Order: sequence, then structure tokens, then C-alpha cells
Amino acid sequence: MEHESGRVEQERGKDAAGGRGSGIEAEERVKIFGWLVGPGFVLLALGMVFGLSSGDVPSAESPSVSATALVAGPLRESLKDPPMTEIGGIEQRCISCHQLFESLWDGSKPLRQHMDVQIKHGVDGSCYGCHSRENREKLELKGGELVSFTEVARLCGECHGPVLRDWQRGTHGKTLGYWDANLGEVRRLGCTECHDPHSPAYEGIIPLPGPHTLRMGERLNEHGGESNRNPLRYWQENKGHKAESGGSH
Amino acid sequence: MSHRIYEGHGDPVCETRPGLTRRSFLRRGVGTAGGLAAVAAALSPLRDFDASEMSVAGFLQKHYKEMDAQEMEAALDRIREQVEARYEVRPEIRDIKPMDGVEFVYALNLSRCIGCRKCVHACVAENNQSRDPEIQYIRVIEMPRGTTDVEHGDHHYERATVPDEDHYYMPVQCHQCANPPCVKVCPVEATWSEPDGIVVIDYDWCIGCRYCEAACPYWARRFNFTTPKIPKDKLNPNMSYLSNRPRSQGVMEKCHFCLHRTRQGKMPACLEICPTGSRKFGNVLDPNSEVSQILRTKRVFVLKEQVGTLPRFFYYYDERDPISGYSDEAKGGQG
Repeated sequence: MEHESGRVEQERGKDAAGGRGSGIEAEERVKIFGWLVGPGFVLLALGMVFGLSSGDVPSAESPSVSATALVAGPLRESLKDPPMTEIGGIEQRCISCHQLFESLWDGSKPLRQHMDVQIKHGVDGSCYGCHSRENREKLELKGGELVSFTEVARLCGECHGPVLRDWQRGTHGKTLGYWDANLGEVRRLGCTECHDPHSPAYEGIIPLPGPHTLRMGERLNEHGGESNRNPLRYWQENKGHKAESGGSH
Repeated sequence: MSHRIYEGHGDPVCETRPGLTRRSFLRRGVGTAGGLAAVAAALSPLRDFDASEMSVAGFLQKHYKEMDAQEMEAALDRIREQVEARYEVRPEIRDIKPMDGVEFVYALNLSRCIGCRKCVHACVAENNQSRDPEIQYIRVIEMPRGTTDVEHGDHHYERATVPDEDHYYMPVQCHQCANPPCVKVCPVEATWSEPDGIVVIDYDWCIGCRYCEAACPYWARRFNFTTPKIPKDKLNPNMSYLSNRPRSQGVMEKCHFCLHRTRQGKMPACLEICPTGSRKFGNVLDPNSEVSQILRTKRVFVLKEQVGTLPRFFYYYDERDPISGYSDEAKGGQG
């Protein structure tokens, strides 16, 4: 192969040289070039075999994310009908206590039960804004109608009208299960399966680790030098590469 | 080229070529050596060749669309064996076809997303993405409130808790465009749009030219520069041919709306994990589906509308800001 192409070059060289009329010099030049072709290939081949460009692939192990962080499902368990609660390690119905002890809490005395309840919701801090005074296993709407804990959306919607409307359409809230009722159960989570009714606004949560992949752009942040923000540079530095070997950019 | 010189009884005693001198002999020898070395160099990647990755049947395998049921079953058997040999897990791998009368659409509520990145990692776990080097289909971009300058968004935000009150968060993944530039540029038709709207890749047909990666205006495609590494205990055995089966070095991959789940009626993994319900998925041809309701009733936009890709991934806002708006709403209701 090489010989042939060398031959062709030689021929071409001859033609060109003939045209210029300095045939012998041109032939010498062609011969020198011909001599260089073989060793050139050898060097190139050796370079490839012994890895002058070994194709070092930037890689960074992604931080492992605990499986518990990735459990899908409702954020919290909502009360059923009748509502049950755990007191002293035993599941109890609300009326188990509230039938015996009348609790007329109106803010006049400090609370001695349900101390875990922190109300950060609405302007009326009273329990009876939502809970029925007569029947502790029901919630009370503004008009006096009693609804069970499973129908809590009706109560919430009395103040949060647009959100209730969106939830009914399926544009607010989370839907688990199937995307079509013909294929399986569509489980649209209720208000209290995500929101704590006593403190419904979401608390901030700890974000999972960010990307270690390449080409995510440099950080445009006031703190932190950009050298450890650019993932490619970060990788190069950690691998002991020089940052100025910009060829791989 | 060669001349034969006959002597006496006509036997060829001597065969010479003009110019076969010491010089030309050496030159030809060096040239031949060089050629051989070049061939050896070209084949040198074979030193790292992993025989378990390759088989005659795999090499002769047809394009996805040209395989009949029997050939597909043979291909799936081959993949099962490869996965089992490599990960010591027996996968449940099938080829799941699109459903009739279904076109998938995704909608994402930017008013609700808090940037927790759970979707990113749930996607990695579900879809057997490489952990080293890290491959993720979803990017979450943090941007200052009141801007939509995606190019200057921050992927690397590190905060004690999210959301930050001065920022909002925009997850970006494959938009499953109805006019997909990635499909147009593929020189071997290894990627195409399915009838249910999902743009898929035949990983066995992809040649790794990365044209699609360059064509995508959303940077949704990822390339396996090296053999992906997945810990054996992290492999998701629920697989399908066109979605989350393990990929090999040199092929593209991207989000496929979890088609091994969604074509069986289930929700995508990124949606199931979302703690805020910001993600919505469904059949846009069903007028009562959640996504149809969103397209009808919400303020919806697509990313980079001007490039004409017609994405099936929509972003929307609620009427009011949930973070500052809730207390106002409650006060208004009670007062």
C-alpha cells in the first residue's frame, strides 16, 4: 500500500519536476520524502499503541444517596374515619377521652394535652376553628355541618378556594398510582397527606447532592472560587492534571 | 512491472525487478512494517475488549423496527444473559409497545418546585444510569426570582435547606419534542419518535456520533464516554428494551418518560418521588386527564419555544406564589 502510494507520489513528482525542468533535484526530494513516510507511520503507530492519547475519560463517582431519601409515597399519614391516635402506646379513639373529660379550651388556661400540636395556620388559634366542639371525631364546616376526617378537603377549601378547585381538577397536589383510572387505581393524595393541618406551610428540606457531571456550566455565585465549581476543572485537579492542559476542553 | 529473462531451455532462472536495490528493499520493508504497526494501532482498542459485551448474534441484530417477535425475543434473551453475567441479577426485561390513543405529556409546576433534587436521584436509581462517571437525565436549575435566564442558572447550588426564598427552581429533562431535532440529525435512525410521543433510542443501533446531543436545545442527551458503572445491588431489574436496560460504552441515552412504567399505566419515577406534587403526567388525548386540565386552565409555557421543537414537556405557574401567598390567602379567608 505504502509503496504504491509512494510510487504515485514519485510519478507526480516526476511530472511536476519535468514541467519545471529540474528533474534530478525533484527526484531526490521525492526520495527523501518517501523515506520519511515509513518511519512516520511507525512513530504514529507506536504512539497510538503506547497510549500517547490514551483517552482518559473524566469520571467522578456520584455521591451515594440513601435509599430512605428515595421512598415514594405520601409525606404523612392522614387520619381515618373514625380517627385514631396513640396515647401511652395504645391506639385510642378520640372519644375515648373526650367523652369522659370535657375540654373547654378557649385559651384561658394553658394546654395540658396535645402539647405536640403547634398551630402555625390561619389567624384563629382556637381548636374549634376546624374541630367540632360536640363531636371530637368530626370536623365542623363554617355552616355548622359536621364532616369526617376523610373529607377534610371540604373544610380546607372553605378558605383555600382556588387550591381546592385545582385539587379537584388534579392540577394541585400529588397523584400516585396510575395515570388513567381504566388502567389501575388513581390515588390523588388528600390535603393532610402532604400538609400538616396545624402547620401546613412546607418546611425547607435538605437538598440531595448536586451534579458532578461535566458541562453543567460554571457557578455564578458570589462565594467559592470558580475553580472548584467547574466540574471539568475539579476533575482535572483531583486527577493531578494541570488545569492549563486546555486541550480536553 | 516485472520482466522475466529466459535463458537456455526457457526455465525461469532469474526473476528481477528493475530497481530492486538495497535501498528500495529497505524502503519497502520499512513501509510494510509501518503499515502493520498502523493496523495494530487501529486494533489496539481491542486490548480492552470485553467479550461479554459482544456476540455474533448481537452484531447481526437488526434495527428495532425491523425485528419480528421471534428476533426480539432472541435479543431479549441475549440481553438477559449479558445483564446476569455482569450484574448477577436476573432482569425482568420486555419490549413494551405504545398504547393506542395515548400521547404522553408532562407538566411541571414552577410555583411548587422546591429544588430538592429528589427527582434527579430517583431517576438515576430507576433508569440504571451510570454512577461513575455520573450520568443524570434531570438537571435542576436555580434562578433568581423574576428571571428566566436559563443559560445563567446555577446547577450547583448548595444550601442548608431549599427552597431559598430569593430563588426558584426549574428541572429540565428530555422534552420529547413533537418536532425533535435529535431525531432529524441521527445518521443511522437509531432514535425516533414513538406513536405515544416518546423519543426513544435503540442502544444497539446507536453509533455514538453524538450529533443528537449537539442538536438538542435542552441538553437532554447524555453520552457514555466509558463503560457505565452501576453497583450490582443498585441495579433495577425491571427493564425494557427501549428504556432502562444497561447501556454500553459509546451510546447515547436520555429520559424516556420511564416508558417501562408509563406504558403499563404507572407514573414516572421522578413524579412519584416529588414531595410537592409539582410534577404531573398523563395522556393529553384524554380531555379529563390532569395534564389536559393543566393545559386548559393554567398559564403554561414551553422552554425555548422559538426554536420550534414543539415539546411535550410544559411548565406552568399557579395564580399566586405559594410561599408568600399562603398566609395572605388564609388571612383573607378568615378576616
